[in-house]
Amino acid sequence: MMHLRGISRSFERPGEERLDVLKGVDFDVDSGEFVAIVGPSGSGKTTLMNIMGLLDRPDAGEYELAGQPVSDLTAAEMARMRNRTLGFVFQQFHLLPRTTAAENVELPLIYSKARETRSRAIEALCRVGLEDRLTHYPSELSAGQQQRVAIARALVNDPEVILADEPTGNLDRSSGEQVMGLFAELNDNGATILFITHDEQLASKASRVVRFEDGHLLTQSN
Amino acid sequence: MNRKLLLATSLRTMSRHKLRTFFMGVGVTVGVATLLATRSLGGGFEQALLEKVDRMFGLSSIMLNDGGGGPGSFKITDLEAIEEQIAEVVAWDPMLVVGGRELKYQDINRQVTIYGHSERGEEVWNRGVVEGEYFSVDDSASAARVTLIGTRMAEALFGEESPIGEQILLDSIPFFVKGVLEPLGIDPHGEDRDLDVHVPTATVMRRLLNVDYITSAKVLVSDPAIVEETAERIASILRQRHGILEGEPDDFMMFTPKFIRQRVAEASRALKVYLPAAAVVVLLVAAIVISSIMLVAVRERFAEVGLRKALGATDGAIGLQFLAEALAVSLASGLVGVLLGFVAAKIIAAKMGLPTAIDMPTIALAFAAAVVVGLLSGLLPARQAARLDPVEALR
Ligand SMILES: Nc1ncnc2c1ncn2[C@@H]1O[C@H](COP(=O)(O)OP(=O)(O)OP(=O)(O)O)[C@@H](O)[C@H]1O
Ligand SMILES: [Mg+2]
Repeated sequence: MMHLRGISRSFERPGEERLDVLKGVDFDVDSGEFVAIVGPSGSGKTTLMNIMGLLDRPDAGEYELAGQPVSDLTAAEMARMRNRTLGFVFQQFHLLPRTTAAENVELPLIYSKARETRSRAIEALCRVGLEDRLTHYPSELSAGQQQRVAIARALVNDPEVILADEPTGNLDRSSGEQVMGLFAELNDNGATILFITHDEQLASKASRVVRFEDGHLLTQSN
Repeated sequence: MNRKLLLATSLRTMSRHKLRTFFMGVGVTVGVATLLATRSLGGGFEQALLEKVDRMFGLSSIMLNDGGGGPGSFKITDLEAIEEQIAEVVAWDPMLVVGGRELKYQDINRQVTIYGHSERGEEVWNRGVVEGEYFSVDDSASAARVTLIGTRMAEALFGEESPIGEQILLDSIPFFVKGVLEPLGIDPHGEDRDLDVHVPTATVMRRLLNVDYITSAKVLVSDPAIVEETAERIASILRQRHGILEGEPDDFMMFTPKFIRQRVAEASRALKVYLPAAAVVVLLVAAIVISSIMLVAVRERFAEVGLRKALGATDGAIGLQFLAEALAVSLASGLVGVLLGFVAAKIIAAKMGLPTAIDMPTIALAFAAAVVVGLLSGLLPARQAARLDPVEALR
């Protein structure tokens, strides 16, 4: 599903030393895997996930997503893959304010020029158990509910891969477990799931845990 | 994103940020309203002015004024010669206009301009009397102390009473009111012609000023088509009679309908060109305002733009969204502007007694202006938003 070879990424800020965040990462994820990424803060987990999610390009290395060498893709083709192949869940939820739950979930469908966007959005909200919160605004929802709206938005276009950067970071334990339960369910239905977490207990729910340290991936299975 | 959705998204953004939308739109509304109102009024103003000029001046008239040589060079004999030599001259009215004269009636004192007209003034100026009688040949021959006054002057002096046969003093000389002039309203110089005081030209010459010259004359020719060439022939007769050598300037001034229409067009250009130009400046400022507000909005909406990109929006779709928003704001406020401008033009026109000439091209122009403002102002914010780096925007 995802194959990374020698991926490196560094950041340069004027007046500061160059910061090599990813130092030649090799990483393979098979279709249908449920992978947790752990590691100390600042170790480059988010940087890696941004590259895997086609939000950022590596400085060097090869990345193949769903059989496509990413370096060959145009900006529009990358946008299309973010829309169809990938689904994102963020720590800060990133829902549009003053926009209802259903409208938020509808967004990816709008960019894929889909039909019956509203009914599919409602269906996705049902899957995360929010059928009675369709017209609520994010400010009218609890943190856990907001993250479930974000998950509905990530899954509404039936992506092959879901990328989640600390999806439970802003949630209490029970909401976090609810989110993990939804991921497990999606994974059962065939979706490949990658999530970053600082919580070893949540990480243990994954079928594989990879540890990140100092720009390198130390793979370990469980 | 399809067009319908783009529109829906734009309208939603507008309704969610009402205050921001108001500030973005108000400039366009004012600009479009000004553009429409001034262009409509300018057209109506010119039309009304031309109608008035045509009625007062006529299409087959030539106006002669002394000038250059100072007063005294222009004589009635000049006009008699012109009539004799040019068969197409059918009538003429010698005039002597003097300002700053004192009119007295009972305890009313007024400063007036006295217009000297001959008995042919009625025909030549197309303005007779609504009460009493016009000047007669006899009045001119005997320099009679008779006067014709405008309707508002009659009202000012005599109220409801009939002024006919009443006596007024002009420069302390008694005059009998012989008639009341047809109402004419305000002339293109801004003079209220219903306050006129007319006296036979001969009377002004002999009794008021004791001079042998006139100040001006209006000449009627038989056919509007030959006005310009007749004017040239009159000019050469006058130059010859006044002994003006080749290459020296005229000592008189001549106005033909063509010349007067040109002057009217120049006068209404202020309304038709300069004010709309001011409106265009307002619109440009509006474009800058919309643009800068949207640039701030793009910054505020960093996260939204980043998120939309993460969800699959292409750079083009993002740019299009911001462009559509600018366009929707300016079109909506343009529509309000068209309505406001329309109403304003109607009200002002009704107040000033002018016709309005609101035509489709004017409305189309106003709308086009709104579209141009929308596109211009949306371009920069759209480009900014489209180029945003999603990683940075989402952090
Ligand atoms: N755009 C950038 N410019 C400069 N430095 C950056 C940039 N993005 C990330 N970094 C740096 O790269 C390093 C790795 O950042 P990253 O966000 O990937 O860490 P992380 O593993 O996700 O940490 P956390 O667990 O705290 O979220 C950090 O030191 C960070 O400051
Ligand atoms: Mg991180």
